[in-house]
Amino acid sequence: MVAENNSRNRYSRQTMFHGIGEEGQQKLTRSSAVIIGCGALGCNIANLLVRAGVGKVRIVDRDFVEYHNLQRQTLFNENDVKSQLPKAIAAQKHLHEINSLVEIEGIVADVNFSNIERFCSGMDVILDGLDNLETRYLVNDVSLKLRIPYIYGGAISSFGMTMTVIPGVSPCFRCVFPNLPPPRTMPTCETDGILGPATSAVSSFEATEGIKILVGSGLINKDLVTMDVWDISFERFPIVRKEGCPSCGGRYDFLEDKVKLIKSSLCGQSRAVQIVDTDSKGIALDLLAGHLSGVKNLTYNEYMLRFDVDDFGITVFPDGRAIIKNTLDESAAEKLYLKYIGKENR
Amino acid sequence: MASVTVKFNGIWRLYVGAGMATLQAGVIDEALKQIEKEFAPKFEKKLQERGVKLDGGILKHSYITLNRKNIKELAERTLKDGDILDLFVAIPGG
Repeated sequence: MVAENNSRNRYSRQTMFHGIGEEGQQKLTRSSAVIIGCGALGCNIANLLVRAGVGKVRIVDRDFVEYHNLQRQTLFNENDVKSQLPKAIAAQKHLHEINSLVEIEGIVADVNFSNIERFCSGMDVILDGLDNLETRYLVNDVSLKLRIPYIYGGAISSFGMTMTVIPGVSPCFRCVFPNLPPPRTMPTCETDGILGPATSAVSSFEATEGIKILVGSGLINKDLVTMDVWDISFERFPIVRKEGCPSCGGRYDFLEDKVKLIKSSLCGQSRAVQIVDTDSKGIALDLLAGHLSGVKNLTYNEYMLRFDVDDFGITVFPDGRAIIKNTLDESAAEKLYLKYIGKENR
Repeated sequence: MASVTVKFNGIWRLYVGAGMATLQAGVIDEALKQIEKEFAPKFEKKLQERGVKLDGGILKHSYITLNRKNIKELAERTLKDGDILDLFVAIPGG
């Protein structure tokens, strides 16, 4: 006899845990979480929150699944790569198979100043599944502006780090790290590698903090937590609010940084530049496919269009965003964007 | 002069090629100057290997604690034997 798929049965082992109980489980069911980024951290956070029964889970990610993701991004499989699925869509599909009682929303988009408030508004907690620092400063700003708790997590090599931002109460990310390092000065998973267990450890702490916030636990992390899974070391360092922190004072520099074309080199991609046209009203990929000439290996589905030109691989998304592979030259990438995806081709 | 241990945490360990160092200094600011002088060139060299030019910047991008307390919060700047300075930089990957 197969047991019933109902909340009481499904969450019975979790409600027995003293920190949650029946009341906590009901709070989880009524709550919502947004996960920004669905790489290794985001996959594990989403998996844990959906299994735990958080009522609504929104996942925002700009990328698509590739073979080099599978070593650590636990929601994805080879079929997702072959189907050229965006991570947010693949995650939504697999998570729905895990727990159909949870409302799961996958959004394929680059998170930037023009859309982040829309993605986070009305959510109860923001969890960090990102692979770059720039967007983390943006998430920190939106957390403070909308007064939504934000759980930072980062991992590289065998190292991990996490802290929890409770707006108006705890130090924010910018209190602890006031200066955004210049581009390309920090390591990425491309340059220094990343161990799957490091991302699992950090994201498990993030998910636990998220659950604690959602059930109203008073045991929220107040420290900067660091770990090295290779050395098996784990340490906590007290952090304090920084006097004069612009973000805590209501000056949201990263949210207000309005530029028309946003270009960035991508962590998860080998030599790639992303271009975002924030004025784009969207692209009909089938129409674009019909207009393209002189390109090779053209394929598309409802989520993305891909083609090669010279030595470059170009991927275009319906929101007007593009990833140009095999270059770090942003102006060259912009020229390719304007030539092949510019408005006259749509 | 006090003998102070400097711990390079996380990414700094990758960039300066050491997890720990010992230095002699009387006050915090003196120790920080020594750290920048001795280890910033290693950071710069590592970046140069990646085609990036940057002058210094270990301290600018670090969260620094003395015996687990943020140095910016400390009124007492004098060091004593056995003190531990920890340096962190935000981890960007994920």
